[in-house]
Parts: sequence; structure tokens; C-alpha cells
Amino acid sequence: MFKNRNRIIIAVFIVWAFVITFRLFYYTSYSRDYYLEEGNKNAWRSGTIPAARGRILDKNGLPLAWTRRYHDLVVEVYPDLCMSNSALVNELRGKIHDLTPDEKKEKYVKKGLAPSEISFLRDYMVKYRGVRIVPRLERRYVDYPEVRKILGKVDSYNGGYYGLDGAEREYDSELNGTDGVYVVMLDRYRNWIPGTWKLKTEMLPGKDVMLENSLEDIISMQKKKNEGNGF
Amino acid sequence: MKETDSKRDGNSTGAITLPLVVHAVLFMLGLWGCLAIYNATVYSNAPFYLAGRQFIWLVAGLFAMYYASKVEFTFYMKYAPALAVLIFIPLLLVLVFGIRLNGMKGWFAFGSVFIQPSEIAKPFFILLLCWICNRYSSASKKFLILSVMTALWILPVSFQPDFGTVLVYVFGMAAVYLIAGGSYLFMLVSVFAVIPAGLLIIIEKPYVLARITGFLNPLDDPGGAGWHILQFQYTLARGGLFGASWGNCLWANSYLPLSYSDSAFAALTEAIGFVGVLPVIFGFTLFAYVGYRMASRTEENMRRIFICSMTSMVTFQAFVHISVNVGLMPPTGITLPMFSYGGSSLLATMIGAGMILSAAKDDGTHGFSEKLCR
Repeated sequence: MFKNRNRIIIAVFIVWAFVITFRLFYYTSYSRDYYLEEGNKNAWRSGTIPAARGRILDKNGLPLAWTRRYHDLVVEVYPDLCMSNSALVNELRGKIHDLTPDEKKEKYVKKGLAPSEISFLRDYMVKYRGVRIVPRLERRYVDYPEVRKILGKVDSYNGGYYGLDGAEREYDSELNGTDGVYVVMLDRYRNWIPGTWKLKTEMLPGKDVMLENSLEDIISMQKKKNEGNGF
Repeated sequence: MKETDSKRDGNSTGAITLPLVVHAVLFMLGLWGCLAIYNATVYSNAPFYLAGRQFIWLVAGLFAMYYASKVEFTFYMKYAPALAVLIFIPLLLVLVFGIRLNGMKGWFAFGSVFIQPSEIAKPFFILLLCWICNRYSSASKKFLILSVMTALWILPVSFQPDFGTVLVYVFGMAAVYLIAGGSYLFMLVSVFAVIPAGLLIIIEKPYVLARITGFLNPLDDPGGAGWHILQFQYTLARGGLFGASWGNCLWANSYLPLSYSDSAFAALTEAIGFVGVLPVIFGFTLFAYVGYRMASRTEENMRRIFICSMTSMVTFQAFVHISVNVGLMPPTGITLPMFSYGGSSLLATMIGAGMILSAAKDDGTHGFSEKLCR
């Protein structure tokens, strides 16, 4: 009886081993392409690197409008995803000043990180989910209202800018660069997986545009124009 | 003279002895496990940390196996109840003094060393069941006592809660009972008796139901219940026939939960592919076969029940883990013996193997067994 039962057990294990082997072969060879494609489709995401808009210079080369890159800290605190991040926020608030919650209290944001703060946060980004440093471009202008009228305005779109009016609109095609494209693998919580970021298309910044007048000329022209209009 | 001895021991197959095969298979599986753990943690800050610790445990395990095999099996037979009590106490104590890891309160912490009593207890639990079977000849009495004893042992483990280990214990009991000549009818009835208990667990623990539905239809909830199953599929596909390049287990490092433990087999497949992991499946099958051969050649009842049950339990655990990893079963949280990171599991498997080798040294006198069965 013992030998028979022993044989049954070993037979079950041998059959089981064959079933496992066939199943393994199915994934690793027979249907491999399908599962590879599905996996890649779910894991890889592409994104754009907004091109920095070119500068607008006066005829002497003085910058009248330029783009500045800032880095903001974002800490997600969705209760189902990042439970431990509530404690993390308390820890970070002691070290990073002005880390404030958004309206829904789903994330905490600190705008315009200093280089020392970025360096300090590097370990936190590796260790904790939902801690991100997000780059942001901001269009800046010289502080003369007369000049601002000539330069015009921009609006943001997909992290970049386009000209609405004035010189910004007139020279929009020159000022705009070409956005870069990257791909990266995301984890279950949609965070980037370190070491997987790849650049697909190089980002080309916009060209600088030089106006025909100097800053002083523009100011005086605008003043005369305002006086002529009876201001 | 030599030939006569080896024939009597029942451990020789030509020039290669069965104990030698057991040593070789376990050592190779252990080494393979270290490599799997390295691959599963290669993108971490310290890729050699867990693999290095596992290697140290492997060396310690070899010593433990050697010494466990040197102890006469008559000692294990004589002191089986005492050893069982000694091992059972920590199962209770860990619920009070243990620490919680991965949601289970199942470890004692001694500095940076963690000991999991439910793993260490496995060979001694089987030994106790074999001892019981050896004492009682009636199938019903045997079944009743084994069931009570198993319930007693799985109770503290289920409080941790570690249902994967509970499953292994229950299989261990079934294996012992079957091999010891138990009644098929009792086993069938107990399977039906387990169904309501299973339903109760599904109702009480919604995550169990989620695992089953995730297993059946992973694409219905790809980010939740189906996540684990889908990642197994993608990881295996990435491994292909010959594996992604060594140390490049991106999927195992990024997507597989507990890739150095619960998902160790899939992680290794990504590294070395179908061809690379075939020896692992073969190794465990060979281990079961060697156990079968050893048990067949041993005449004493308790020895052969122990050999067969212990090898079956290790192989069962390994095949359940692999089946989960290749999508044949829903996730259970069972580790792969000799492979998954964890010194307690490795040590317990090696001690169990040592006890198997000790049991296989049947001197043919059966004196002690006869005394027990009088």
C-alpha cells in the first residue's frame, strides 16, 4: 500500500512539473510577443519637455522678456496610495519652508525650490512614493508698463507658452522652440521608475529676437503716444 | 561488504548515492536562489545585501543539514513529542513578542536577524504527525488525532495571519495521512468539510475574493486585483527563452511585489529565461523523486512516512509558488523553498533534508519502532 501511494504522489508531482513547464513555455515563447507588447503599453509613458521660449532683446541686447525655469516640490497625499506620506509631509514641513496644501489637501506644493533644497530632496524622491520635483517655465519681463504694452502677453499651453499679442505674437514662431519628447516607465502609483527615463527627441529652445529700438526709445515712444491720446 | 551495506541503507544508485543527490540539489537550488535575490534587488541601493545574507544562511543551512543528518533517527522518533512542544511554544510567543513584517506578526527580531518560528516548525510538525501515525493503526483514530493536532498548530499561524503557511501545514497533514495508509473516504469528506470554511474566509477577508477574481479576470481590474497576475505574465514574457541580460531585471525590480520572496521564480525567469529556470523545476522534481526512492528502500514505517511527507511538503510548497508565478493559481503568498529570501525557511528546509537523510539510514533492526508500535 505504501509503495502505491508513494507512487501516486510522485506521479502527481511529475505531472504538475510538466504542466508548469508548458505554462512557462507559453509565456516565455509561444505568446511572448503579445505579453511583451501589453506590458510595454501599460508601463511606458511619453512626455514632453517644453522648450524655453526665446528672449526678446532691445537693439542693445538688453533682455526685455525672458523665460525662467523653476522647480516646484509636489508631495502627493492620496490616502489610498501614499498613507505614509502624511508623516512625511510633517517631516518635510520642518525642513522645507512654505510647503503648503492645495485646496483639496491632496498634495502639498512648494514653488521655486532653491538648489540646496533640490539636492536635499533627492533621497526622499528615491525612498518615498508621490514626492516629485516638477519643473516649471515662467515668462518674465522688464518692469516698465510702457514696454509691456509693446511686448504683449503670452498664455501657457502644455507647460509652454504662445504669444497672445504684441511682439510675443508677432515673433511667436521664432520665439517658440521645439519641445523635447521623453519616455519613462511608471510604477503602479504612476511614479517614474529611476533609471528608465530615455530622451526620444532633443528639446530645442526658442530663438532670441532683437527689436529695432532700445529700451529708452520704446519708453519715450510710448510716453509720447500716451500724451497724444490725452493721458 | 560495501555493496551489502549500501543495499541495506537503500541509498545508493550505482556510483551516485541518493544523499549526495540531495546535497547537490539543495546546494545548487540555494545558490540559484542567491542569484535570484541578487537579480530581484539589483536596482536597489545595496544589491548584494539580501543575496549576501542569503548566502550566509545557505552555508549555515548546510551545517544544519549535516548535523541534523548525523543525529540518529531513533532520537527524533523518541523525542518527537518533546521536540514538537519545544517548537510549538515559539509559535504562541511570537503572537505576543514578535514583530510585524509585511502585515504578519510572525518574526522574532534579534538585532538585524529575524527568525520565523512557523518556518522552523515545519519539519518538526511533520515529525510529530509521523509519530502519531506510527502509534495508531486505526484510520479513523489516526485521522481524528492528526486533524486535532493540525488544527492546534495552524491556529497560532492563522492569527499572524500567514495563510500560505497554513496551506502548507494542511497539505503536510494530508500527505502524512495518505502515505500512512489513511482512508480515501475520510480525505474526501474533509475536502467537503473545508469548503464552508473556505467560503467563510472569503466572506470575512475580502482580499481573498479579490485575489480569486483577479486571477480569473486580471484585465477587469488591472491596477488592483489583477495587478499581480498581469505583472507575472509580463515578467515571464520579458524573460523569454534565454532571459533579459543578467542584472537587467527591470520588471522584477519595478513591478513585481516582493520579487525576492513571493515572486522569486518570476524574477529569476526574467533574468535567465525559460531555459535557465528549467533546472529549478527539474531540481524540485528530482528532490521529490529522490525522496520517493529513499522512502521505497526504507523498511521502517515511521522513517519512510517521514521521508515521503517531508519531501512532498517541500515540493508542494515549491510547486505552489511556481504555479502562482506562472499564473496557474491565484496569489497565495507562499515562498519558494531554498530560493526566496529568508533564513528561517532555508534553515528549516535544510534541517528537514538532514532529518530525511537521517531517516534514510535504516539499519534494518527496527527495534525502536517495534517498541513504539507494540
